[in-house]
Amino acid sequence: MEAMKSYASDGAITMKKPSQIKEIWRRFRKNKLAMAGLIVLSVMILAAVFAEQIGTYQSAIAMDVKNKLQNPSWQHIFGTDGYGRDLFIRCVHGGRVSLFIGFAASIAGMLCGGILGMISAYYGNKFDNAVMRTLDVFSAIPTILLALTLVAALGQGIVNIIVALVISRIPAFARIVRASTLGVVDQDYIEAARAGGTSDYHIMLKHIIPNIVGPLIVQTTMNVSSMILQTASLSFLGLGISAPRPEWGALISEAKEYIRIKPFMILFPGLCIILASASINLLGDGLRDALDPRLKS
Amino acid sequence: MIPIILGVSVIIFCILSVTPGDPGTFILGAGGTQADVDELNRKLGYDLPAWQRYFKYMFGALRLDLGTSYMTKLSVLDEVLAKAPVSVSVAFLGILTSLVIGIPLGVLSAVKQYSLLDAIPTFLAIFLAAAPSFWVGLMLMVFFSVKLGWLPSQGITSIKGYFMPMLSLGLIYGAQTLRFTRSSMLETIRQDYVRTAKAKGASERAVIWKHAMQNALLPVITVTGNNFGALLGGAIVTETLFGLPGLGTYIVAGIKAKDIPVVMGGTISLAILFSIVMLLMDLLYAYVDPRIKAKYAGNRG
Repeated sequence: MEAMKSYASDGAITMKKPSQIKEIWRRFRKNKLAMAGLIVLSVMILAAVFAEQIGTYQSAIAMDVKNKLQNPSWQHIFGTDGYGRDLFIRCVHGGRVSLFIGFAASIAGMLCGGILGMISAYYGNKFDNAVMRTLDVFSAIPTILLALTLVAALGQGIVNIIVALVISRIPAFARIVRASTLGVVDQDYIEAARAGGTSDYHIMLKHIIPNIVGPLIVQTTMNVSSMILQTASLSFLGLGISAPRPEWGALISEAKEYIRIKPFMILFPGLCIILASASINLLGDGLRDALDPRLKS
Repeated sequence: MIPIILGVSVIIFCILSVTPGDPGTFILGAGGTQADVDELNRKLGYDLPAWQRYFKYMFGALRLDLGTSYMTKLSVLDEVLAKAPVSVSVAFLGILTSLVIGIPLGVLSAVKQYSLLDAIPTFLAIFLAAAPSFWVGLMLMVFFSVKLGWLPSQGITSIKGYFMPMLSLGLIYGAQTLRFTRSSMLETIRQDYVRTAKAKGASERAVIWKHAMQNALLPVITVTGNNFGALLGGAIVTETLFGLPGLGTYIVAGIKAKDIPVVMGGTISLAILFSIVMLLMDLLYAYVDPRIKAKYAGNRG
């Protein structure tokens, strides 16, 4: 109990003292797999940011039927697709869409679900009950199905897909944040703040959030990879990013047609997804261990 | 359970109501005149306001009448009853495969921590946990259907058709089971009672499989239950990929054509199945965890 409290107050300082961040970074750096994840992910993000410099968007969607279905070569390292477009450039531009949706949906879902979960746990009673029962209902609908119906209602497009993914992810985030808020809301320091006349808003912002932010960062990171996978699934089911804009999942479903003659077309975009989401998962694992060394297995 | 299913029906109905397009236009396509479209919508009962359609639908559902599909005119209840067994058996086979793959490998990699027998399964688990399910399915298709020509890539006309969906779900969820089994096992084998068992001279095998396993598997059961629930609907992608006539493909086709009775009926049945699975899992958990049994026995007494 004593250890937990001192850890909790350490956590509160995390945000302010650079030495804490240095300490976390020192622990993180020791984890080789997590460092590998960080490096691979950074490279992929850089490639996505500078996609236009690697190959223009125009060249990623312009058709060149003469060069269609070429095997990987030095000129086209991933080969070309059914319309003669360079698959490497399409994967790079696809990464732009996939990674953007993954990060944006994850962060927005964390904010919406997190605020809901925290308020729900903080005020408790009837409000908490109502929120949790509503979330139970949402959880009985499979996430992909909820996202699918929402995309059908909102229409395809990057923003609409993000909105659909955020809504379908709110219950999970709300639950996590609610559980960790319930763990701190009874602590003496909250009681003390309340007795001292601190406003609810101030207590949540200054005393609760710093103490639950660690696990939340880890969850948000891990969630990016499931958002990337969900986006890919939506595209695969025909309700994701629409042609000609490349997206990793859409690239795989386009390649499905050529499964009998050019299976490598399925391989490369799939490896992009795996590389990105595996790095994100490893990064999340590493962050979890670095933020809370007691949990290390 | 009933409030949850009512809630699910309200949510899905609301989302479907704001989805653009009407069934008349979908059925007649571009060829239909506005008058034809209106006439068809009236016949389908689509001219009523949304809340009236909802209550009409739900009163029907109470009498086990899930309506008829706008597109095919087939009874939704009959279709759901024909398709649910496919989804349930694919999910069940997938989960079973995942346990067969995940638990032994998880225990092995925990017992031989930091050896090659730990590194290889862990690496494969990281890889598979990051892979989209349809990509894994497509890779199996490339291998078993295209290269070897052993298995049909589509449909379940023969029992062979179940193999690839089962394996692709089994691999993906097996990766998760492996990770959970490994970490839970690592935690367990460091407990005092395991050391006691070793100290009293029980063989390594007996310690691992009898003493440690029983406790290490409890969290795995929870995860498996959740996975099974998730798989019922989450197998949508796998069902679509392999062309299986399950609830998933049925609902996706319904969503694309705005076939409201199909989507409603399909989703409600999924929610019912999901609740039943969760209930069974709770019962199973109470059965295998002596602590829960003891708690209830105590309450009664």
